[in-house]
Amino acid sequence: MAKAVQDASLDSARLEQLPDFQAAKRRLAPRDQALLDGIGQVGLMQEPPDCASHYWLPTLILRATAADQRDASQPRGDQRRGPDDPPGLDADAPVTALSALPARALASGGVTGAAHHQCAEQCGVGLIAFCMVLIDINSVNIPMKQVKEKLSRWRLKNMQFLLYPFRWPAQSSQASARDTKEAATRGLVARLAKGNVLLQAGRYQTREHLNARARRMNAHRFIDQADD
Amino acid sequence: MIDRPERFAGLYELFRQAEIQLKQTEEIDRNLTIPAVNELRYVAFHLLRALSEQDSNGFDADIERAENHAKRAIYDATEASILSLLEKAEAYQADFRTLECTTEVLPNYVDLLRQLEKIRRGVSDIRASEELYLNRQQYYPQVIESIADLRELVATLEQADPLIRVKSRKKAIQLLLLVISVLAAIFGIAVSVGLHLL
Repeated sequence: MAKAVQDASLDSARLEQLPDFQAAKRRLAPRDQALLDGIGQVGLMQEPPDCASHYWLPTLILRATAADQRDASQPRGDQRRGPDDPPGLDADAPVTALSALPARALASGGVTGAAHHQCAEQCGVGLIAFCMVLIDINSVNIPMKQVKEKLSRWRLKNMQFLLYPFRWPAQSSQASARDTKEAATRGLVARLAKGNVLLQAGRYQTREHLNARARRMNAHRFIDQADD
Repeated sequence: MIDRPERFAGLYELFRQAEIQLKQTEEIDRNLTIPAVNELRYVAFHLLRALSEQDSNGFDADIERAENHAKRAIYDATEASILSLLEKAEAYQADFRTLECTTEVLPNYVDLLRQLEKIRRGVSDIRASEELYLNRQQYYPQVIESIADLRELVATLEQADPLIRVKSRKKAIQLLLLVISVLAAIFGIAVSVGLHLL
């Protein structure tokens, strides 16, 4: 419930900020255009006369001379993806005139196939694979519950401690990570609500909250004190 | 109106304590504890009724009720703080469970857990019985006592956390290097044997 109220207050505050967001998008549009100015073959869709564009999703326009490059980032013939595959991540897409786009334009314009192709060429597939392994080691925690289940199936219950030395300790504890996240959310809500107390909901504990927390804590044991 | 300043002084002292605990809870739990505020609302109600009372017995009964509500306010606010600190301690315990250097940094870790469990039981036992919980105003001195200890315990865990992590990381790196070295040695032996056979 508190979460729902917090979400609602966030969304409500965001709606109030919508004109500011649109103004920010509008300010970004000339910068995006400036990035594409040097290329000549591409441009952004301009605001039609007597209209006010929200510039939420800029559209890339190819000049007639580069019209055949439209599908440059799409896979060719037999490499076409299935309907469920995400678009724009095809490493074999041909490197074309569009690869001359600045990196930022590539990243935001949906021609990521070319970008990935170049990146893969420059860094080498082996290096990427090595990095992936490192990332994996750092970010993935062994799902202890599943491991426990497996071990108990193999009659090796309570032997999961053997795996602990292989765990990579996280940078910060759950408690401090939770505190940081909570402080960030509260800061964001307070900033967006601009002192509006009604929008800063979810900062109180009702009897139900307290009962639920007490029940949860009642089930927890810090240490088994059966011998006491 | 009945003039009994000593009764008002007692009630004032309890109200002041309740306010201190509420503020402390806001600081620890970062939330306003509505049940405690609600109890203070009843304090005001009974106090006003006592002030308008002409009968001495009725006055005493209302002041006593107001005092009980103030004690419950203290209890509720303190319980919220205790729960918040216990939740923090629980999170640290879950983290430390998988870190092998915990007892190296905190040699008295088991004692800490024992003390945490004692405080947890103290709160849970009162919640266990409906009768006890309804008369929770009797236990407010106990929970106030335990909160100071609990704050110290959680502070100890907080201070030990980064040290445990650094030590555990070092150990994990050492283990990784050992595994890599062993693998490299096996690979080297295999290559030399292979070359020798060729």
